[in-house]
Amino acid sequence: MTGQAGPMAAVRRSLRPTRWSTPGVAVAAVAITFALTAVPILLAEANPFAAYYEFLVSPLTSDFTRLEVLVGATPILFTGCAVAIAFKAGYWNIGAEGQLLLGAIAAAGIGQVVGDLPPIVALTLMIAGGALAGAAWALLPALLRVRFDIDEVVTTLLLNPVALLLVTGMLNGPWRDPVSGFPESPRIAAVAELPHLIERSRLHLGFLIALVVIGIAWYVLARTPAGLRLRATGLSPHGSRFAGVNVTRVLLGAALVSGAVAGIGGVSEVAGIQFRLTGGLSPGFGYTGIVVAMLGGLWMPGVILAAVFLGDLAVGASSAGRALGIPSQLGAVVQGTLLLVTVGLLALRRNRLARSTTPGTGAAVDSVAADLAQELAVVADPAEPEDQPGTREPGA
Amino acid sequence: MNFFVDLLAATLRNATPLVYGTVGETYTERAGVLNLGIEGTMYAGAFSGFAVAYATGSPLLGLLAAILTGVLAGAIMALLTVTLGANQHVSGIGLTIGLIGVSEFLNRLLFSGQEAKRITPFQALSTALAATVGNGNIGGVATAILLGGPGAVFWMWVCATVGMATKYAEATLGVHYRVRRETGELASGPMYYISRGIPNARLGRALALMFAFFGAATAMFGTGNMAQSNTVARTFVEASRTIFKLDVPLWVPGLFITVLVGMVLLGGIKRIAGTAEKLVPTMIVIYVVSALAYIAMNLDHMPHVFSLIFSDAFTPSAAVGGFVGATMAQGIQAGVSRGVLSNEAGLGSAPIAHGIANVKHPAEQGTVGVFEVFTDTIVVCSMTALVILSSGLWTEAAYQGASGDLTSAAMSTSIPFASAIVALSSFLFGFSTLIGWCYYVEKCFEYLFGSRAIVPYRVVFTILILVGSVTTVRVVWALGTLLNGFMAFPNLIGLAFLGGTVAKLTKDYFSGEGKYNAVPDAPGAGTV
Repeated sequence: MTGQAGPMAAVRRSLRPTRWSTPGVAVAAVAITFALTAVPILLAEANPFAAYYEFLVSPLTSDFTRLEVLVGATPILFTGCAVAIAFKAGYWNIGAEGQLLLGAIAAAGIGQVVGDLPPIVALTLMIAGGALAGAAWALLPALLRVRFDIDEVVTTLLLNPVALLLVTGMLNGPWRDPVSGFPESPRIAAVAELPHLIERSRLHLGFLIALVVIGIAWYVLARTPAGLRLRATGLSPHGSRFAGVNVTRVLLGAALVSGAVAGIGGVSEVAGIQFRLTGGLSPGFGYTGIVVAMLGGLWMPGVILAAVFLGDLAVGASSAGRALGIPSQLGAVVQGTLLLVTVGLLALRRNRLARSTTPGTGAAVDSVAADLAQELAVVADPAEPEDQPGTREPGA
Repeated sequence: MNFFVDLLAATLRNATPLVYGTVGETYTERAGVLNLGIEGTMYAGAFSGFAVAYATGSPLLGLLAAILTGVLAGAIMALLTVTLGANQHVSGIGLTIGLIGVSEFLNRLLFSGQEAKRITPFQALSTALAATVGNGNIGGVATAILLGGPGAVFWMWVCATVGMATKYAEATLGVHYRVRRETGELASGPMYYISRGIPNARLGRALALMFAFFGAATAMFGTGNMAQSNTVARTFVEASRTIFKLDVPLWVPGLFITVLVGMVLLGGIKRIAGTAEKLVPTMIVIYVVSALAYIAMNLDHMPHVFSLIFSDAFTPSAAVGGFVGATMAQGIQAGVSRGVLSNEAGLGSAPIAHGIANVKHPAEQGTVGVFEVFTDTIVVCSMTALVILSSGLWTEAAYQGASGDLTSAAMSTSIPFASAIVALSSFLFGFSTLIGWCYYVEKCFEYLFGSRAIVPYRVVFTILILVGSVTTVRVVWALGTLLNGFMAFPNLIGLAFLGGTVAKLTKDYFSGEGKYNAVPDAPGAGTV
């Protein structure tokens, strides 16, 4: 794919900064975020440097907290991966939260009835069930998007509270704990529990599963024709369709895979941490997944780094709260600021990039994507071009 | 019909916030911006509106602040999505996460613990009782008998009867005239009711300053500090002598309590103080039960003891054994001064704690004050007095000049391990009293110098504990009595001036009118 001369190569070169500056953007975003969040820390009459130390370094100073960081990273590895897959395709799935909850419901339901099966079968069933449930929850917005061009941001977002209500309904209805009467589901069977990786730690197999899922996602996105089609669609749906990519199928596929990955995240939390469905299962893992995906540059290895970083931050936020008397909500402040700074920086970079290529800004990027897609269509996959209403104007 | 009216009303009520959100969202979507940040914007508006309205007392300013906050949130969104052209969905989600976080963060910072700072009436009683039931009840009573004879006990009771009225007035006024300091904490005490209550501002200010100054001095050198550690050290030495047959120098227990108090005051280890305060009520019960057991065992002595108390009250006490005798004046003086030392009525210290209690009406806390004096003097002090008098040890030469050890030795005559009980009670009472007084005097310092200069003061306070533990009894208590007088003087003048106010508040409370209900920010409680 390399070595071609002509305008394509020139555009490639101009695109190159994207490759190296993504880690740069992430580091700069973290630095700027810490500068901004020094203000609330100072308001709390704490030393910002001591606070950052508590936030970032102190969780790494003991074995227990180091493992807790990974425990905290596990669910957002799933949601971060899910969001990154969808965003990469230009499908704005804000519904990872709800998809995760559906996966959790499925896991709790299956986990209660598989007591007689061998663990490997039970766990496979739960993971499959969770993935299906998450995908099913993602299906409706995706269909509405490709068939009727209904904005998936609104539909996926609004399905999140619905999923939470579903959880509450289950917990107050059929699954209310018969023994304690608490709104908690009965405990799942012992064989349905994800085994712990290290003794006396909460770190469980779900962490490894997350790494495997991310590994597969990375391979598919980076090394397969399907992945290239997905990325091309994300860069320019028009160009891709012009190049013969079945954009509808790509979008549907991205949405469903995204939902499935988030659903497995729900399985992992139920089978690895809570062992039952609870109302407080997710403190916004789906939304944190957006932060993870953006901070990781929608790039799978970046997602791992970002998830571990935010896991570190979460463990640090609770201990910094205790150690320095700072309200632990600072964790949310840092997350929100980080997300805003990251998207701001990404936008800045894109503006610079657009200016550095040919005049016509966004169109340049589109044409690059179109070329990429066309190249792909020729090289790898004879997907038939088709006329379809499922893609929107860029910027709509 | 009624059902539909209710339904409509509920619909409108629930729709109101939605209308605001919807109008805002429609407006931005018309301009092509999908603003997912409105959830966070509403949070931030709610917080800033509340905070400003709370601080200024003006809902209009609160509304203005909320509007400005919303504009600011919109500006951030616009900067990101319009100026920079960043992704609208992600920016909106980020704005919501961030603004909810900031609102809850600041809400915690500014308003949490506020309720905790206004303590319940029971907590105020515990704090005041922990500070009040101190070594005055153990060592102080013994000293009163040694100085003034058995008649001193009678005068102590008289003093307590008057003291209940005084304490009622102090606690009531404390709540009525409390203020909110610039730190956001409630503050109260005689300096506030004197300076705010006395019509002549210059006189009020002078008396308040005098109280704050001598209040601080009392805690440093008087009953709040040295007298406490002195008694604690002596009861410890006595206990180790009777139980372990071991002579311990005074500075050993002195150093122990100094280090412990130092850990709380300088090291900030609040758990120790919290534990001690929880133990005090239990300790009072154990102490009183032990004393009652002693009295039950020596019931046949009681008629003689009571007749001694009443007869000596109006006649000079004869010299018996090592007891050198006392005039009636000495009896009155000793009884009253020890009584005041013990129940602190009129001294002005307790209203500093009572004043910040979370009560509906000032007079409510006044009744708690009455109960405090009753528990302290009529119950606990009387027990000590009966035990000492019935043991007869107060006439022995060996105990002249020692106070804590007299109580301990007296109770040991009938109760096994009594000296341990006395030593432990004395220790806990002394410890909680030291902590309580440290708080009182920080409030005096705060009034004098503002909310700074706390640490150097605490260092000095801690060192003086050690000094007090090894000083002679008479010197310590004499100094305490003198300083108490200087502290009580401005307070009593203030109470005399404010008698009318107390009567007014009392009438208001018992008639159920509640015109003067204690609200932290009612007109009665301005900011300094």
